[in-house]
Amino acid sequence: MVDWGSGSSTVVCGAPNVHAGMTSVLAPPGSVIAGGHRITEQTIRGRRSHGMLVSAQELGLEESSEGIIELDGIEPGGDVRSPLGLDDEIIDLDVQPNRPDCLGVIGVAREVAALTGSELRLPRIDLNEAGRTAADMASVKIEDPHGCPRYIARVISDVTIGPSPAWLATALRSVGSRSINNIVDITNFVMLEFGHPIHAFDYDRLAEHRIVVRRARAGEVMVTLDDVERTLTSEHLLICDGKNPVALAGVMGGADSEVSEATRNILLECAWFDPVVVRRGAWKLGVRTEASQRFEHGVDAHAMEMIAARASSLMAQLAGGKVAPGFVDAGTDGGAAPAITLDVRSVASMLGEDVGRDEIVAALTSFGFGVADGPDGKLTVDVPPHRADVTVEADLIEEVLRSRGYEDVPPEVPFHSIDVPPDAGVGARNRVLDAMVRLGFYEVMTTSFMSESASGRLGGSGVQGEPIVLSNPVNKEMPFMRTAIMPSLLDVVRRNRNVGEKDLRIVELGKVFWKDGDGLRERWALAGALSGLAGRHSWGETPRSIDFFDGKGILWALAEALDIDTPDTACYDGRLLDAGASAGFSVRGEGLGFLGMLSKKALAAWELPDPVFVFEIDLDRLCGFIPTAVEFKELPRYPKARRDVALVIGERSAAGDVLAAVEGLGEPLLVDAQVFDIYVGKQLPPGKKSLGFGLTYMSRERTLTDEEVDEAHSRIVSHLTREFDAALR
Amino acid sequence: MLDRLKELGREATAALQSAATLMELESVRVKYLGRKSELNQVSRGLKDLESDERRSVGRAVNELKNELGALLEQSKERLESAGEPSAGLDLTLPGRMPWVGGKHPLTRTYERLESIFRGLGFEVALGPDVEDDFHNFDALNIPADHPARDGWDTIYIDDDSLLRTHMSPVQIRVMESRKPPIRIIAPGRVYRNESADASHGSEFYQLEGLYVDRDVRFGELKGVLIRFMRELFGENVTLRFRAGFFPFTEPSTEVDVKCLICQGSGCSVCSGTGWVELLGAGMVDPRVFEAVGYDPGEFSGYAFGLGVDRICMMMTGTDDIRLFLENDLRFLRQI
Repeated sequence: MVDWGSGSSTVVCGAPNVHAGMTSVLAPPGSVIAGGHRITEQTIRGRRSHGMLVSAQELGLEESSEGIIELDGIEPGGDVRSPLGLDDEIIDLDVQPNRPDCLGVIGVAREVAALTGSELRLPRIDLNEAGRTAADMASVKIEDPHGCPRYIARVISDVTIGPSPAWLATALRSVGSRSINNIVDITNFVMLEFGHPIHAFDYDRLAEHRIVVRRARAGEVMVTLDDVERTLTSEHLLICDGKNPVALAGVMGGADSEVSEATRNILLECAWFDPVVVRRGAWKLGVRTEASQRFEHGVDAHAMEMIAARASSLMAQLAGGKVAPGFVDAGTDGGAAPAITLDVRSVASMLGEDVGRDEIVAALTSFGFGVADGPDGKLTVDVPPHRADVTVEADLIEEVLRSRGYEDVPPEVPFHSIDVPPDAGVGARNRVLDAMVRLGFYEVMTTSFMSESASGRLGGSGVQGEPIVLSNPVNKEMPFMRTAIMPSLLDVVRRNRNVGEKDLRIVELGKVFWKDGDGLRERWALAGALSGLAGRHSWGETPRSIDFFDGKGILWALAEALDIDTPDTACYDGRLLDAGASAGFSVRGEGLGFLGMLSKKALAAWELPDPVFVFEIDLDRLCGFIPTAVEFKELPRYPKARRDVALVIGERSAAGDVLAAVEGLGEPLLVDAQVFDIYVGKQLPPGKKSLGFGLTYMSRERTLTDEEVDEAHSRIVSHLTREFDAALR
Repeated sequence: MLDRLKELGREATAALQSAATLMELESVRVKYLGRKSELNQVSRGLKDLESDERRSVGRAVNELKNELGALLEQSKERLESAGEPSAGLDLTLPGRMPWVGGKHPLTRTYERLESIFRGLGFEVALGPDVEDDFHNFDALNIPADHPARDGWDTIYIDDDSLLRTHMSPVQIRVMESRKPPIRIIAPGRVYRNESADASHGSEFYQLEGLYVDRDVRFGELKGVLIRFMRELFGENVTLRFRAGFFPFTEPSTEVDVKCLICQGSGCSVCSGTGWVELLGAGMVDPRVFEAVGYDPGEFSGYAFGLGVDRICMMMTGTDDIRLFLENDLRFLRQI
C-alpha cells in the first residue's frame, strides 16, 4: 500500500530494496518514464497495481539501478524534483550559425547582460600554480599554422581520476551529455561554458611530452577514442606526440592517449583550429562531434588563456591536481580585428530618422563594442574578439536594431514607380493552363526526379538528350532529373486508378531537363493524360470510352483557345506508344510534341488495365505561337452557303490529304471545310470508303448567288475526283 | 336575371381558370364572352327591359364583362408563359454535366500571392532549376565550407551544378542583368536533400521578393510584409518580427504570424507556441551587392522569402505537405 499524501493505493513492486515505511517515488498511471514507456494500471501476480515505484534508471537519472529510489526528509505527496536535483530550468536556444559565441553559457549570459543592463559575472579561477613550469614539462610545435593558428597547453599533475561531483554530473545530464569521469567531464563542462572545445591528454602517454600539429599523410591511419580505425588524407589535421598521432584536431581524441583510470598527469589542450579544415576533415570521415561543430563555426582565439586556466582550476579543485605554472603558447591569436567605420546617417537612413548618435553609441557599447569618434563625424567601432561575425557597417546596424527592438521600427509603404518589363513567359503559360482547365483538366504537380526504370522505358520518346544524373539523389531509385513529364504523370494515373478514380483528365505544366554535350538544359513542357470515359457518366446514355480523337480534339481546342493555327498531324513513333494510335503535331513546320495511346507493353509496365492517352508538348514553343495581339476583323455581313460532297475513295486515303487538297486549291470563296461523315459498308465496293465533306462559301463583298456557289463547289469537287480517283456518292 | 348572371360569372371564372391550353381558353372565351354567348345575348336584350331593371342588370353585365375580360388576359399570360407542357419530364433527374477541371491548390495559392505582390508593384522573375554554386551560394555570401551551407541540404549534379535550394539565385541573376530600381518576386520549385515527412518535402515551392533602390529602409520591408499579410489573411492578422540570421541579409528578421487556427492559444499547427513562422526577410547584405557589381554605398534594398506550400497548408488546413505532389484527385477536387 502506497500513501501518496492525498490518498493511497496498492502498487505491486518487485524491487530488492522495497520495504515497509520507506519513502520512494511513485509514477501514477498515465505517467511516462524513461524510454517513453507509459505506466498503466495493470494486474501483476493477481494484484491490481495502481502505478509503479521507480528506480533512478527508470527516471533516466542513472545508466542502471539496483532498486527503487529511497528518499529521506520528504513527506508523502511531496514534490520529488528538488530532492532528485531535477528542479533546474532548462532553456532551449536555437543559435544561428553566425553566433558561435552563443554556443556556450557565458556567451549567452553576455547577451542577456547587454540586453537587460545587468553585469556579466565570469566563473572564479583559482590556479595555485606550483612545481615545474609547463614550458619545462611539455613543448608544442605547429607545423601547419593555417590549420592551427594557436595552441595553448597546460599541465596538471597528480590528478585522481574518479566520478564527478553530483552538481557536475547533473549539469552535464541536463544538456543531454553523459558523465564519464571528473577530468573528461571538466573538459565538456568548460566547453559548454565558453563554447570552446578543449581536450585532456594523458600526459604520460604522450611520447617525449611533445605536441606536434601537422597534416596527416595520405593513407595514414589512427584509432579514435570511439575505437574506430580511420584512414586519413592530407586534408586532415592531426595532433601528434613525439611519435604518433594522438588526436584528430578539433574532431575527436585518439584511443591511445585517452584519459583512463590510471591517468596521473594531464596535458590540457586549448587550441584554435581553422573552421574549414575541421569541417572538411570531419565531413570526409562522416563524423560530426560537439567539438567539430563548434570549431566549424569559429572560436575566439583571445579567450584561450582564460579557458585553459578555468579548466585547470577545476581539475585542481575536483581532481586534486597540481597546476604547473604558466602554459605553453604556440602561434598567434591573430591580433585585433580591424575597426569598422560607422556612418550615423546610414543607420538613420535604414532604421529611421529618429535613431540618433547617442542611441547608437549606447547600443554598441552595451554589446561590448568599443566606440570612438572617427573622421567626418563618423564613428570608429572596435569589434570585441568574440564577435567575429561583425565585419561591415551593416552588421553594426543590425546590432543597433537588435538593441532597439524589431517591433520599434515603424512600418511604411512608400510608393516608388518602376517600369515593369515584360513577364518571363508567365502570362502565356497561365493562358495555356486556363485553357486546359476549361477543357476539363485537373492540374497536377509531380516530381522533377525520374527513376532509372522510367528513363529506360522512355527510350527515345520525348527525350532530347541524356538525362542529368544527380550525384546525391534524395531517393536512390530516382537518380535522374526528368527528361519528360509523362512517366510521373502515369504514376499519378495509376495511384488514382488504385483508389477508384478511373476517369481522368490531368495535365501538368512543368520543366524537363537534359544534358546537351556538357551543357545542362531545361525547358517547360505541357503533358497530359486521359483515360476512362469520354464524357461524364449520365443517365440514359451509353458511356463511350475515350479514344484518340478525344485527345486530338483537346489539342485542337487548345490551339483554338490560344489563337494558334490548327496543328498539322504526322506519323509518330514513340517508344511507349501504340504506333497505330499516336501522332506527332506541328505548327508552321515546327514540331510541337505528340499524342498517343500507351502501348500494351507500357500499360503493363505501369500496371494500368485500361487504355490511357498521353500527350507531351514543348510548352516554350507552343507559347511562342500565341499571338501577342489580336486584330479586329469586320464581322461578315453576308450569308454563308454550304454544300456537301460525299467522295467514294480508297480505304487507305487520308481525310487530311483531301482537306489539304481542298485548301491547296486556294478557292477564294471557300471559308471552311469539315469532315462530317465516314462510311464503310455493304453499300460500297470493297476497298472503298465514303468521306462526307461540308464546304462553306462566303464573300465579304456581297451575297453570293446559287450559281456562283455551285460553280466554286463544282471546281473543288471535280479537282478532288480527279486527284483521288474518287466517285461521287 | 341577376342570379343568372352571378351563376354565369361563377361558371365562366372556373372555366377560364381551368383552361389548360390556349386553344381551350379560346373556346371558353367564345362560349362566355363571344358574340353568341349568353352574356352577349343578355346585353343585347337590355333594351327590352323596364328602366329600373335595365339599369341594375346593365351595370351587372358590364361588371361581369370587365371582370371576365381581365381574367381572360391573366389566363392567357399564364398559358403563354408556360408554353405547351412537355410530355413527362422528370425534372428531378440530375443534369448532364461536362467535365470540370481545376488548378492545383499550390497554383491557386501562388496566383493569390502573385496578385497581391503585383498590386504592391512587384514583377515576376524566373530562373533555372539547375543552378550553379555561384548563384545559389557564393554570390549570396554563403562561401564554400561555411557552416551556413548546412542550412541547405543541397542536391548536387557535379562540383559546380546543383538544384537550387531557394529562389535567391533568381535575385542574383536579375541584379546581374539590370540596374536598380528593381522590384521582383521570384516564385518556383526548390529542392532539398531531405527525407519527406508531413511537414517537409524534398521538392517544394517558394516565393522570394527583392527590392533594390536608393535609401530603402527597414521600415519599408516591414510595411510591405504587413500589407501583404493583411491582404492574405485579413486585417486582424497579428505579426511578430524577430531577429534572425540569413547570410544574404543584414539585418535579418523572421516573421511569425499569430496562429490562425488557435488564435495564439497553442495547437498542433503551431506546435503549441501560438505563432507560426511564415517568412524570412532582411536588408540585402552589402556583400551580395558587391557580388553582383552594385555599389553598396549607393544602393540598399530588402529581400524576403516564404513557402508557398506552407501558406497553402495554413489557409486550407491541409496537414501533410506530401499530398501536394501525390495528386490524388479526391484531394485536388476538395482543396
